[in-house]
Amino acid sequence: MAIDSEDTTRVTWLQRVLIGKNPKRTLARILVLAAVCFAVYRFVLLPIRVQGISMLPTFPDKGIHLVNRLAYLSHEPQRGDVVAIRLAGESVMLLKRIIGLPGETVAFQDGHAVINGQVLEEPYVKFPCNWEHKPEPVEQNEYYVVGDNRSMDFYDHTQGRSERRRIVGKVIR
Amino acid sequence: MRHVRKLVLAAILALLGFWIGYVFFPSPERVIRQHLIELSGAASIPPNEPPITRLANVVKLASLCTPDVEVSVEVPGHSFQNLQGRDRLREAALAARSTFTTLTVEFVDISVLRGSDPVSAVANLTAKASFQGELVPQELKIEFRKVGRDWLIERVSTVKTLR
Repeated sequence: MAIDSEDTTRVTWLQRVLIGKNPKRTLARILVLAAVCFAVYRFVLLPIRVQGISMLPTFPDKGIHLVNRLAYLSHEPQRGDVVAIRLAGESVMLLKRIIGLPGETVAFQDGHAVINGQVLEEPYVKFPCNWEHKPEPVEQNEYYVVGDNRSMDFYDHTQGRSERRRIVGKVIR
Repeated sequence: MRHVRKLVLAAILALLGFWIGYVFFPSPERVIRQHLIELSGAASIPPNEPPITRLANVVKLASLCTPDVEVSVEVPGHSFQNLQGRDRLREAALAARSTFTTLTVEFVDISVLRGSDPVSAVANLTAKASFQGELVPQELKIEFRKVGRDWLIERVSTVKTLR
């Protein structure tokens, strides 16, 4: 009898932990939680895994981050924002930093980004760079994006002007 | 009971009809998507690929294209490639297979759009090429043309994500 009682107590305790006092209510909670998680991670915060070294040292290879899709609902992308840029879809995206805004001119002189003739302060760029690139106008509805790791050759680094419609959202560190 | 039997029979016949239509009369979009899967498989180079498989994959790759296929591929940091004709493509594929020891090609985010005429279609997709531990994503536009009853690749070109 003592063993039966112990078993019953254990079952009740386990049942409480696993499915709660009211299983129907627990099920409803699980469904609501799953729906909320699905909605958040599908439509608001998109999980991404970094592959590559173009955003070093700010975003290391294989790091997991989130893209806030709603970041640019109330305002347009800003200089310094790290954004996710879609290719044909959102399975693979480019992770880049905005340095040039619409209507500006972007150049690289002696490894420094030059916006409208003024050298841009970029504390996030940690590796030495010797890029030289003639001034390039950024058209309306475009943003000039580049990675933080500029240690490779200018033409080996994926950078340039991105259309606004390709920017999926702001990356959260 | 007889009505139920008739209903079940009708449902089975409908399902059979749907299955026959699905398998034997696929939609152009389904044919194109299937060709894209075959293309990614034929373009990939498995490690230690036997010579016979290498040849079979190159033949398969060429068979998915029209005789006057044009391939213009420009990937940042890599050389610009422009090939015209199936024979030239075959030669380039064989050369690539002797250069790369391994290459994995995968197509994602595929969208297929039918052209204004009934014999053309365009597939937009992202190609993920992995070699020597490096991942190169590239947006591609692949134009198809209906030749006989099949859809063949007429033109492959890269889309510049960043200009």
